[in-house]
Amino acid sequence: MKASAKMPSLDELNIFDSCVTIGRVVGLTECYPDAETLLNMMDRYRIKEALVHEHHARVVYPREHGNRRLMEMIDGHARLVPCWVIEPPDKPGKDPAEALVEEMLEAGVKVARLKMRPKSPLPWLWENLFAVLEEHRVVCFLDFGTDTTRGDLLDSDVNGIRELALAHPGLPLVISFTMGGLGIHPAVLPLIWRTENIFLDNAGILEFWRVIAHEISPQRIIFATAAPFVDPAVLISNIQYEPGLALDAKRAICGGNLRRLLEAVR
Amino acid sequence: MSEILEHWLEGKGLPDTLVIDGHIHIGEWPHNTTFRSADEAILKSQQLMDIHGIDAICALSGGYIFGNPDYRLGNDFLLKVWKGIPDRLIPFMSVNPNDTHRNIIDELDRMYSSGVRCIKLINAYQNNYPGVGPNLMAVYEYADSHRMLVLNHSWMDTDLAIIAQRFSGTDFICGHLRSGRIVKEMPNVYVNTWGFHSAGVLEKYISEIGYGKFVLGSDGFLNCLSVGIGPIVFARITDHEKRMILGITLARLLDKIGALPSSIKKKYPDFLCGG
Repeated sequence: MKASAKMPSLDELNIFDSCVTIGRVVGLTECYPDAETLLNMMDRYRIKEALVHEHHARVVYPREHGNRRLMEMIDGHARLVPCWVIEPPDKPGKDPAEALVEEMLEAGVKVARLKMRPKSPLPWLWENLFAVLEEHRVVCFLDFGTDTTRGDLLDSDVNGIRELALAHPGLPLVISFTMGGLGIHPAVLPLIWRTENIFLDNAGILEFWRVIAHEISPQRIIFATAAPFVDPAVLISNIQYEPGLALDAKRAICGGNLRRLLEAVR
Repeated sequence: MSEILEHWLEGKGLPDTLVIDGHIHIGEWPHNTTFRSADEAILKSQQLMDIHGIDAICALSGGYIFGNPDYRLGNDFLLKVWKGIPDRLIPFMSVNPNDTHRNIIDELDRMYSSGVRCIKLINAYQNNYPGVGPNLMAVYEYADSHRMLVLNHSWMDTDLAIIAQRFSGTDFICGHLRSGRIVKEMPNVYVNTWGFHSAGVLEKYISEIGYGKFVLGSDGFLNCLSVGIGPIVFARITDHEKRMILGITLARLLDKIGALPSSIKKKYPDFLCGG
């Protein structure tokens, strides 16, 4: 039947998807082995732009091979924005971290997916890399996923995120891949209340993002389909037909927040 | 382009389409995410249906179905909500198979005499009571002799094959998206569409076992109702197939047992006949 109140159209939401995986994923019904396939999917779901990372950069060492492959795969496609998967250099000191971030920025990459598995957010381990990323306001997704986009948070993770966020208030940190269905770690809401620079992506989260948007601010939610690991129709319809948020709030979540963070990268 | 998809993309819901959500939880809940009173459930569930363009919901009793609470309290709540919106809610009563045989039959009698014609099971969350254990076999027997519909969160393939064959006059709905030989081959087995699946899975399953086996189920109001509808609407299937999955197939199953609200029959008389 016809809906009682018209919801915004998908085009009005101007979607900038913060999480799409490119590369062949064996065993999935559908994946995006190249830019053309990915762009077709984006057209189908009215996604205007997408942050893209390469599948193997998340799951196979050395990560830089996947990151380089990503740049070749999306070369010439302005709607696809690169995101590198990185983790802290083993060697202590700021120099190795600076070299890594410089390489990223020189390649035109303004977003990093920081793999929090297997190296958890141990402040002493990530400290130097976070300091350098903060100098440039690089947008950081704290990736707690496993081989897929599903992951979970432990108490120690929440503590580590808090410590790092407070030590680097100029660094935008997006908690990512904490698949929670209806809920995630109960300390996430209080943690976001207590910090200025922590955001949450909704990859894998059907309901909890709504609580953050209503109780704190829609500015703290970054939209993600997590495609192809999640059917894009699920999370896109979830936000489009959310009855309790105004158009401005939905537009912020769907892309405005991410675009604003990207503009601040220096 | 699909007319149904076009409307959905434009934010208009699903005009001219019969939509019945076949998997909704209502009532007190362990996660504290659903309505806190029957009055609130009556009011808000209608609002949510209206916003999404849903004609009616199959409502399963709430959190009393998990573990060892008294499931009759959940059924009481369900009856109260049903009384408030009889045209838009189809009640699915619950039992806990770990209870005594006598209590289970008494509850089936109580609910049947109140007009309830559908049963929701979730033995996987009730100490994993076997799908073909004696008390569940008694429930299927009851359903079969009283022409009731049975939905379960999940069945093992081996159990499903046994019960679907033995109670061939009863329709069985698997509560979450799946495929497989049993669902394809048994004419009285159907599947709700919700699962946190990856891209393309729903379409793959539809191509494997046929669109006629799937009925919309969002797992609302725990989920937003749109997460169940979205994958069907976006699927690369025909509008006819979408309409069948969104409501017609389930309407026919409910109509067979006298559980389809008359208002739906009146509103969509053409949808209930034909193939």
